[in-house]
Amino acid sequence: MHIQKIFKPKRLSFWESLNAWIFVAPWILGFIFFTGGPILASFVISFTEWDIVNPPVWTGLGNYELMLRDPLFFQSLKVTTIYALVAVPLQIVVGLFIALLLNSKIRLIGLYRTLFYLPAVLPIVSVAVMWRWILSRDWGLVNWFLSVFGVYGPGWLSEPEWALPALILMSLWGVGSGMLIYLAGLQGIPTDLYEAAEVDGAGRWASFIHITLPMISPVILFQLVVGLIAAFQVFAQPFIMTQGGPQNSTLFYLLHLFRNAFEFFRMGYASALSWVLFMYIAVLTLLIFRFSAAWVFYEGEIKNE
Amino acid sequence: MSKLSRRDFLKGMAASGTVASMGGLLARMPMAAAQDMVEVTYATPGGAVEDAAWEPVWEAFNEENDAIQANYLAVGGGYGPQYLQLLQAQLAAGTGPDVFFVMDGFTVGFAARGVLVPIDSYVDANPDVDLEDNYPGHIAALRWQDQLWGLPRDGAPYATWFNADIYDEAGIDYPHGLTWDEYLEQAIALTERDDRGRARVIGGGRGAWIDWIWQAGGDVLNAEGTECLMGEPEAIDGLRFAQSLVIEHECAPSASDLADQNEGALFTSGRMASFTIARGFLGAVCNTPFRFDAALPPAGAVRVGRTNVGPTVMSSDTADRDAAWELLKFINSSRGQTLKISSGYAYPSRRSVVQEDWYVNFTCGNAIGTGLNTVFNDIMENGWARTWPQHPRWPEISTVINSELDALYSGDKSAEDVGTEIAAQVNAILAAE
Repeated sequence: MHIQKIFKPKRLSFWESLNAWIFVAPWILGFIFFTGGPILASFVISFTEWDIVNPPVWTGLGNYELMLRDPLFFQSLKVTTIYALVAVPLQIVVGLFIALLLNSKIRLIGLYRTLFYLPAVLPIVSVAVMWRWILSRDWGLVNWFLSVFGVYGPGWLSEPEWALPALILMSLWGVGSGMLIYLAGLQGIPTDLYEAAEVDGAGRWASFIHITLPMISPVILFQLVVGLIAAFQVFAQPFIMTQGGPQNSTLFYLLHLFRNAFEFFRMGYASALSWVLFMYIAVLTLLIFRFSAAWVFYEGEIKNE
Repeated sequence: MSKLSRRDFLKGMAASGTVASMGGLLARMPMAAAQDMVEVTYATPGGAVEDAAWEPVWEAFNEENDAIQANYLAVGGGYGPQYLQLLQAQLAAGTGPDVFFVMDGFTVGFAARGVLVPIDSYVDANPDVDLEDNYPGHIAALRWQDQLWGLPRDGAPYATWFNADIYDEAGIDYPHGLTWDEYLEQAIALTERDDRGRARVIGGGRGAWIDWIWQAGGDVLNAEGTECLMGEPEAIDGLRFAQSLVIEHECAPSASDLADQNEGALFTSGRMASFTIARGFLGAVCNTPFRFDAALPPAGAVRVGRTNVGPTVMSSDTADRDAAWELLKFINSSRGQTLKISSGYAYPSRRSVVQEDWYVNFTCGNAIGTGLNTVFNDIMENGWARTWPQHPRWPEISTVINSELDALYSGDKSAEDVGTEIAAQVNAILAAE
């Protein structure tokens, strides 16, 4: 009670309040007009048929019903879900692995960390163009490497069965940003935990499983949620590299949405697609949080009590 | 250095805002003073070469029209869907151009959405437009529901460009007026691939998919645009021939060949013996080290190839339709087309321009003959060119077709299955209209 009294916030004067509001006004107005407003507008538009130029026509749930009859909606949802289910865990494993390697005290460690992070800051368009060449069937680096072992690689971007795996492989190019966050997490683990484990006879693997992983599990949860949201919003890579082909094998959800909005000018249907995607991501995120209690450990938390 | 208080900071911000607003108002004042001059804007994708080609057109128009100022707007986005997206966004925002270019196949979509002004009354009132001087096919492509929605700024029939050096090296006659069988025979003989299928020379391009269907006697839609004909035997024959070039005979580029270079790049880099495209390709081929020329496209059941149109249309939002019409008319006129094309490589939509000396005697780079100046006219005058099908839902229809063509050219589906599947999907789109 005494503490509450001490920290009870002082009532601001009128001018102080006004100053505060003026300072936050740009953000609030920006959010209302450029984010919140369009979000609400897209919800209303999703119940209409609108070609941008002419006034919208109210169609009720028509766009949502149309989705159930649209084979490309299901194809794009399938492609994006497969991508998210494979690429996100892969990015977590590879990012964590690199972070573990870079968490050691070796010479030129700063240089290595910079080199591994560098790809994450390159513009996605130039990266996509570069990867088109890396994945070329006849002249690409990947197939040249395979040919050293006598393997003739496939047309990574031109064969339906290989195009999505190629984009998943390419997604590992950007693990540098995740690696940096893991590295920060790893360096926050108290060393006395490892010393105690060593005294108890634990090896490296046991220390990793019983100390490292639990201690950075909140970081992994963060990466999982952020990675999942990013995976469902992949657009630039398929747009530049495959245009959704061959045979719709890389028709990502946002590409399908984009085509409906800006090529077919069906804004209502595209808005409905965006709301379904929002709900899909929200449900998956909630499920991850719901089940995270089983594997995420917070400092000071006592499980099963 | 004294500290700035929050109040002083806010005062400074308010003063800056006021100054900026006043500046904005002042900047608009000269526009009000120039109200007596009507400004009309023409929009096209643009680019360094195209911008320069248009320059003499605006100079001449502005010189001849005291009361109208023509402005040029290079929208960007290239000649693809991105240009249409940018254009549509401008039209929706009420800041669209007065007169603009629309890509083939999209004019009807714009007209159906009420974005365009039908120009029949203007044409009727202006006999100097001389519609007869335009190739009939180009004008027909701009008619929809018995109304004329624009005029062509140029035309672009497709012919076969060939690398004469590759033909000479192989001892094969140049591909003038071939039949399908002769074309196939040549393409097979010219193709050189290594044991891994990598091409040193590819005999010929895939060709525009629609050309093979037309040449086989088929079509995409019926005349009314109410039914897809891609499942009909003629269309399937065309698809089968196109597939055989890539899969069975490997004498046209595979998906992997095209993943590295498009057909234009394969040709200009000397890796492809021939391919079909419009005369505007001269801009690229003139700089190549090999000798080249243009020839008639091959013939199946009929000799036919596609022609683009270069639709130039008037926005229904334009503030001054009469002024916009004057600009549209000038762009389509013999003088307008001559000014633009003489500095570039496009093909005119007016027959009179094709007869002018500068056009007939045009040559560039290592061109070996006059085919590049005669073949395109032969194609147009003999009725060997057709324009893209016109339908308001064409963007969706072409997306369906392109996706199925992936399966055709990879050999994953037979021509029959592809034709049947396209017909089913397109008919579903047409039924939803």
